[in-house]
Parts: sequence; C-alpha cells; structure tokens
Amino acid sequence: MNTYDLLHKRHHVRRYNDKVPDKKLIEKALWQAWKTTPTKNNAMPYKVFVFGPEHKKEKLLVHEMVHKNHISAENIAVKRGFATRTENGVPNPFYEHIKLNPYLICIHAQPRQPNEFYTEQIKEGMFFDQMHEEYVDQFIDTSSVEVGLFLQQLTNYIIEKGIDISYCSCFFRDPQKWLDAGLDHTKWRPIVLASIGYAERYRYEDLEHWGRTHEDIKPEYEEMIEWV
Amino acid sequence: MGLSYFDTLEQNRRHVKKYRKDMIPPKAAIDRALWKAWKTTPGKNNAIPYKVHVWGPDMEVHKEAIHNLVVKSHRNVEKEAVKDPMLPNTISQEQFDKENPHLPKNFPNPFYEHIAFNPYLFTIHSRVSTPNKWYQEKIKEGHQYDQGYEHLFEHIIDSVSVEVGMFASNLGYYLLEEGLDISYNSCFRRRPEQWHKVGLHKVTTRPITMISCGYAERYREEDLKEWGKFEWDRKPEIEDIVEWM
Repeated sequence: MNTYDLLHKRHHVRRYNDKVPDKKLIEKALWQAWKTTPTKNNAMPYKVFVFGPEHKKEKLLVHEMVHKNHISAENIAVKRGFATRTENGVPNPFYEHIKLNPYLICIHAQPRQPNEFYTEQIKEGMFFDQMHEEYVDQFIDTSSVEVGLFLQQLTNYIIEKGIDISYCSCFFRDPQKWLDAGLDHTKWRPIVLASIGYAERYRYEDLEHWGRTHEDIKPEYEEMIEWV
Repeated sequence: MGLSYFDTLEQNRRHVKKYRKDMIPPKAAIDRALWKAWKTTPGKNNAIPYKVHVWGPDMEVHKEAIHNLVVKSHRNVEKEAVKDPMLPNTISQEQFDKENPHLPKNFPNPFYEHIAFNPYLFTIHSRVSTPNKWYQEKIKEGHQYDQGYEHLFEHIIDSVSVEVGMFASNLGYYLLEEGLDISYNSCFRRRPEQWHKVGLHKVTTRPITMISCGYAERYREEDLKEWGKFEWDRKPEIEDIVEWM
C-alpha cells in the first residue's frame, strides 16, 4: 500500500484491544523516525519518553492531567467570556486512549548541546538557541514544528506495521504540574502525547453509530491553501 | 516498485543550497502534493488552524523580500544574544566576518539562499478556524474551541506548530515522491507587521514555518564535504532522544 493510502486509513482510536504490539516493532519505528526526521542545526531540541505496558499508573496520572486541563480550559473560557457554560466536568471519552494503551509517548522540550560543526560556528558568532534553558519557551514554535515532523514520520512507520496511533494535545504545559502529579521523568515542558496499540474501536465508529460522521469534517482545501 | 517511505526520506531528502533555475517543477505536481497533504494530515477538532501561502515562480521579488526578513531575523537574534549577559555570545557572525575578512563569510548565512531563489516557496501561517457542525454543537454544550480566536494564536502556538510540522512532513514527502527537492527554514520574523514593511501585505497572520521546493543544483552537504566538515554535523544519538521508562 502506498503512503497516501496508508495515511488515509489512519483513524483516531476510541479504545485499544488487549493485544500488545511487539516491543521490537515500536523500537524499530522510533529508530526509523529518529533517522529520517530533519532538524534545525541538527539539534533535535526535544525528548521522547516511552511508557510501555507495565506503566499503568503513570498513564492514569497523565490521563488525569488531560482531564483536569480540559476542565480548567473550559472554566477559564467561561471566566473570560468566550463561553457561557462548561461541559460540567464530564470526561471526554475520546481521551481514554491516553489511559488505556500498550504504549504511551510523551514528547517534551529538551535543551541540546551543539555538535562539532556548530561548536565552531558559535565561536564565529552564531547563536545556538537550542542550548539555552531560558530560551525553551521562546522557540517553542520551532521545536513544536520539529516534533510534528517527528510525530508524522513515527506515525507512518507505526501504521505501516499494522499498528494504530492517536494523539492528544490537551494537557498542562507547566512541568511543575507533571512533577506534582508524580510524573518524575518531567524536566521540561511537554509538547505532545501519542498512544500506540491495536485498535478495538475507532472514534469514527461512534460517530457513525450516532449518524453524525458527516458533521465532523475538516475545512475545505481552498480555505487552507492559497496561491499568492 | 518505488522506494519505501523510509528510503525516500533517507536517500532523497537533503537541505538544498541552490536550486536549478532552468527547470521549474510542473504546477500540477505541486497541486497534487498539497492536496494529498491536506487530505491526509490530521488536526485537533478538525480545525486546521493554519493556512499555506504558495509563492510560485513569478513571485521572485516577494521571495527576495522574505529572504530579507530571514536575514534581518538572524542579525537581530545574534545582536540580542550579544547583549544578553546570561549568554556566552560576545560577537555576532556579521561582526566576526568584518573582523576576519580573510575567512569564508558566514553572514548572510549562505544556506538561507534557498528561500530567495526557488521555483516554489510555502509559508505556513496561523488561521482563525470556524468550527464544523459537530463542534458547533459541542461548543453549545460547553466545549472550548480555542482555534476560533485570533487573540489565542500565541496561547496555542505549540499545538498548532505540532500540526504544522505534521503537515510539513506529509507535504515534504509527497513532493519528494514527485522527484522534487525540499528544504525547511524556521528563522524569520514572526510578526505580520514586519512582513508588511517589506511589501508582503498578503500576509495577515503569524508565520510558523516555511518550505522551499524545486530541483536541486547543489546540496548543503556538498559544501560540508568540500570543507571536510561533513562528519562534524551530526544529530544527537537515538539514546539521547528516546528514553524507555
């Protein structure tokens, strides 16, 4: 199957089944993504933490933070007048993949030291922003674009092995909140979450069941692409 | 049978120093790659809170203006770094070049030239999104649709940038599949007013990334090999990037 057809088949997972993908397959996909993802100044200013099947407790904690962040975002929206009500704390069922999965990926920002080439460039006046802790927030857009490049390539390598992957970007950004929750791996701000496993049910099947698939569509091509 | 996804990226994607001027990729190939990237890139809430400006072969003046913004940004970042007492920088590349005229020039960075001279340049910008029917209902029930507000652009810039990266990855791959070369750049002015100052009035929202496309005449790695520095410029090892808990 070609890449377009493969990607066209990817769906958000509502629930994973009990079968655990072979760790070797996940390792291979991660290696392939590392190998082929380009990065500014060869810095890769992010770190990928992988929680395997045995890390049930950590996944519960991450899911709890996702849920709390969702509630917090809605409360803030009401306070600031962008919304008139919240969903009353009802958990979003489409976040469940963060709690129950064989593998959870948390990608965080990570300052990096320059390689030999850039060490020389710095001596000649180059500013290597990825090495400075105080610049992590300032170049978060650039790091996040690079995380997106990595995540998309990881996605391809995962789904070409017949495995499913889903994403989440609803969580607290403050690393202290992660530490307070007991997620000790955290040092820098999180950028994105992804779960990996074999799907039992996809989100679109719920929408089909409710007869509402046609309502949840992306904007038209013409809204997004403009020839100047 | 064509190359696999891995081999296409590993063998064919390299940063372009200079594009060929005598060969312009057909517009149909660009349209095809853009359409496939739009079709296959996922987005939170199906919002796609970004838009792509395509600057074609006839937009030479505009691309030189964008390159100008890249050089200005580079100069400004280094000047600020020299001023910041917390940072080790004591000289900018521009100043270093002036003080060392016998050495090869670093400023303006020759590896930004692909932004000025290319058949096609894609600049990707924030966009206010209108919720689809499903999310219109959800909003009535209290769902916060943060992609619908211009004043929240900076607040959600990390998650939008992840999505832009995913789109850029797909677009880049589909362009490589068409036999074309691509290169990325993330050094540029972020505020649209700065784009207006150089005559780029079409740009009304915050830029996030840019990608050039064409047929390569020379790759950056050829320069590095010529200087005997190719082996110096390596990415961190996988053990530094991926940690199994």
